[in-house]
Amino acid sequence: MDKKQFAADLIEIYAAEARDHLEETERLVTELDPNGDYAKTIDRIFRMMHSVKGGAFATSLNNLGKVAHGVESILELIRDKTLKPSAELNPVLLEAVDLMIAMITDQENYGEKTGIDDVLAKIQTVLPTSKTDSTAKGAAGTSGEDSLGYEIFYREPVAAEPVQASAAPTPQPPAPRAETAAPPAVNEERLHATEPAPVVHNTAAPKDNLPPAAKGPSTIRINVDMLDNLMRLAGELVLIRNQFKLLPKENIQARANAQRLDVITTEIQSQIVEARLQPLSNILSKIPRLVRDLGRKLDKKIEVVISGEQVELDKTILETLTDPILHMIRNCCDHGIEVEDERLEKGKPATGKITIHAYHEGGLIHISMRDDGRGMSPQAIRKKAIANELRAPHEINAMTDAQVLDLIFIPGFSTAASVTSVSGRGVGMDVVKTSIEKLGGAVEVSSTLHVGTEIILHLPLPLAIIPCLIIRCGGDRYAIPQVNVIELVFVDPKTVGQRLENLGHQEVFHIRGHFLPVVRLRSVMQLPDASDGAVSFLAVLRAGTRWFGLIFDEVAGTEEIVVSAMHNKMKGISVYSGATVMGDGRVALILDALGIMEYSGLHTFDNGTGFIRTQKRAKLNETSLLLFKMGNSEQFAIRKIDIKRVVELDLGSIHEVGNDRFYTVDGVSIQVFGQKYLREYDPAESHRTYLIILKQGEERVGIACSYLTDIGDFVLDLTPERTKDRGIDASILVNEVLTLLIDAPSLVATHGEGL
Amino acid sequence: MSAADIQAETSQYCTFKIGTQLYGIRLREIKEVCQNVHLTPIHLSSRFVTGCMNLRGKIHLILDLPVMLGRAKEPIQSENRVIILRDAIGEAFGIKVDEIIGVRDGADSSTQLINPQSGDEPLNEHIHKDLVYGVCKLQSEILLILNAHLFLDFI
Repeated sequence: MDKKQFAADLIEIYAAEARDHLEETERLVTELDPNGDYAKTIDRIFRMMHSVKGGAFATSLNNLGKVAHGVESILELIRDKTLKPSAELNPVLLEAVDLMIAMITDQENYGEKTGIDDVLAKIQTVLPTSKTDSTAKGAAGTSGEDSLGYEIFYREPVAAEPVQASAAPTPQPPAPRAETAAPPAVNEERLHATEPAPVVHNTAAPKDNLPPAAKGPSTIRINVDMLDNLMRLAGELVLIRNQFKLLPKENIQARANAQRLDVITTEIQSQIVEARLQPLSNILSKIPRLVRDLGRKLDKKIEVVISGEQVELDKTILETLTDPILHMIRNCCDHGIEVEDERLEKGKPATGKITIHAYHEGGLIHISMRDDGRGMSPQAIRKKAIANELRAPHEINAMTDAQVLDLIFIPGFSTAASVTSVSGRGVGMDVVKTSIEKLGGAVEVSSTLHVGTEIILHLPLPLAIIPCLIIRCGGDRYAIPQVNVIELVFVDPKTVGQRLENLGHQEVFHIRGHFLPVVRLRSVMQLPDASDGAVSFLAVLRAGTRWFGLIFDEVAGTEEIVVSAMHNKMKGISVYSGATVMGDGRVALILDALGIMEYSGLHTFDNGTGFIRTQKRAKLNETSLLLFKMGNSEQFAIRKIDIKRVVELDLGSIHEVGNDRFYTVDGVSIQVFGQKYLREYDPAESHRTYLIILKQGEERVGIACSYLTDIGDFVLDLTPERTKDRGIDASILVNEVLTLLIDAPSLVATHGEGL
Repeated sequence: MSAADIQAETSQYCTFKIGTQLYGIRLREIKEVCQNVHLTPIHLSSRFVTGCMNLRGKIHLILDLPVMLGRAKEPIQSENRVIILRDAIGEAFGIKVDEIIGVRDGADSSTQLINPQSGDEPLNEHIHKDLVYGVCKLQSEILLILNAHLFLDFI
């Protein structure tokens, strides 16, 4: 490897470590409380700064080194009690650290081209002027270079013998206390090394030798790619284990081995998954600083309390979460927390409080962000939603206050009176929701006006190897992640007709007093209905916070599967979230509950459970009807839920058996009602005729008609007719036309005499 | 590639039948050939996709070459084969063909590049036109050479 490559690699290694130090320093400095016990913290920061400085100069990142040195000087003085952290001092420290972070992130020059004079000047103003040996310019009394031609950056008193004893100048670890009065023996640290060789050693050594150094957990840096590889291999191991499970029971030895393999594989799996876990504190630690800055900027007093930051999440989830969480905090500070005066008026404490709490529960990770600010006004949201035409007015008025709050997640929504530079552009919350849902999670919001708001994020535990429900549909197998499955319902074929209904345009399933919207997986896959039309299994699925039912053919079991991504070209099909190789070597596709729901255009009515509560009432007011005419006679109406299908009728193909007429559709003989009309039918008239096939249990009947007038939802004003026993329910006014509403059951019972 | 280049090319072709017509793709574009595979259908995908299969733990997407060449979609049969193509052509994918005939050497026969724009193209299917980029006259039959690089563009 050539020198240049070596140097570049070295800088990269150094930069990664320096970055960690700097970010930790930033966190510690933010929390620096002048009235608290900060000695240990200062020590810690000092050690890190020293390490950063040493490495910087050794890799010839002089700018960085100079700033680090400046910070170190301040810290030194704090350590020997010359200076104290204060409202004047802390910001300077922070600014310097921020600058260093910016520099280290600049992967082209690592800050060599960055202007540092401003920050250095600020550091100078903070330092007491009588002490000069801590500055970058040299020892007390001397400035610039000393007689040996080296720029002195650090002095420390050392006894003479060790210096004379050592053959070559070796870097000495800095003692906990640096004496400012310079005794005769001076040790200079050769920080301007041209050979990078000893550098890495430099940065490591001081930490090891320091007496008060806390022994942290021994860690090692590895590449994320390596972890991903291990994950993949663990996945292959799971595949082999699954194949072992299929062995016949008689082979005892093999089964025993398989069991042991099982135990070990599961452990390897979970260890690797754990390796990718990182604590939430990675994100949450940034919040106190953010809140402080915003508080100052907006002139509000805000404090933040965080708990549960040790909760761990998969690395990729964590990365995706950062922006949404920070956005929500910004929102909270900007719109949620009121200014001091307003708060005092309301009888609240002057300082607004944001509480963040993360915890495990029910197989998910929950992150709750609560504030005691002004809360959200359902009224204001309703107004805004109507004004921005996000929903129709009658829909909005039908919503409960709790449901209205969800409107904030619609793209283009914003109740901010003015778009501030902090937030309020109306592009935030919908992106937040989408990002969270893409991770398989959900967002929930609740609020009380004047009291406060709470937003909870629900996130699934680490991915890649997940337990699934395996189902069959149309001869193929599919996997549904268990995290999406609420419950399985076996539907008795005898009673299914009563429990499965049409409500408006949506098929729903009646379960424990509620109506659950359902999707037939066969229709999603564009397969014909099952031959006997029987519904046998229904899974109640959860997608985000919405629930729905999925009807499929049969359950094939549960299985822990390895998730493989769909082929790139197939990624656009939203109903699949991936694929997996099953124990028998065949591929099964993994269903995406949210994708299925969206694909089916599912109409859900309640954000909480997806159950419809208010629709029962709506049924009385509005009904879906098909209006039709038979010849020139009156207009008829039939409820949409009574209709199975409408097909075109070829009058010439109707055959008569006695007094009854029959027509064949798809090989099935349907009895045709509408005798009166058919008798009157004039073949010369060239209009089309239709057959409305009714859905009445086992019966195969249909009504012939000449003209389909309309289909839609109408408010029924029923005047019961005496002719109900002949199949007519009532005569009603539909759009001011007198219409006879057909009662399908009695029509069938009376063999269509009423028509 | 000019016609002259093709003639000078000594590449070998893996030939297979789709219906009664013989087609081929260059041998070096092929990774392997599988038989008796189980294909899992991907409903809602385009009609050019037969499904996906497991090959040593990795899931491959298999395209329906007969459909791409304008024929009707048919379920997989025992004499059908799946040709997996090299990563350079496309990642983790292959094609289903009716029957593999064998390897043919293109050097000892006359090969001609078809200009897709030419009006005297006997095959009408637009799709077909794009995929065939050469014609090779073998001793007893015509071999149509397909451009494997275009396969994935169909979906």
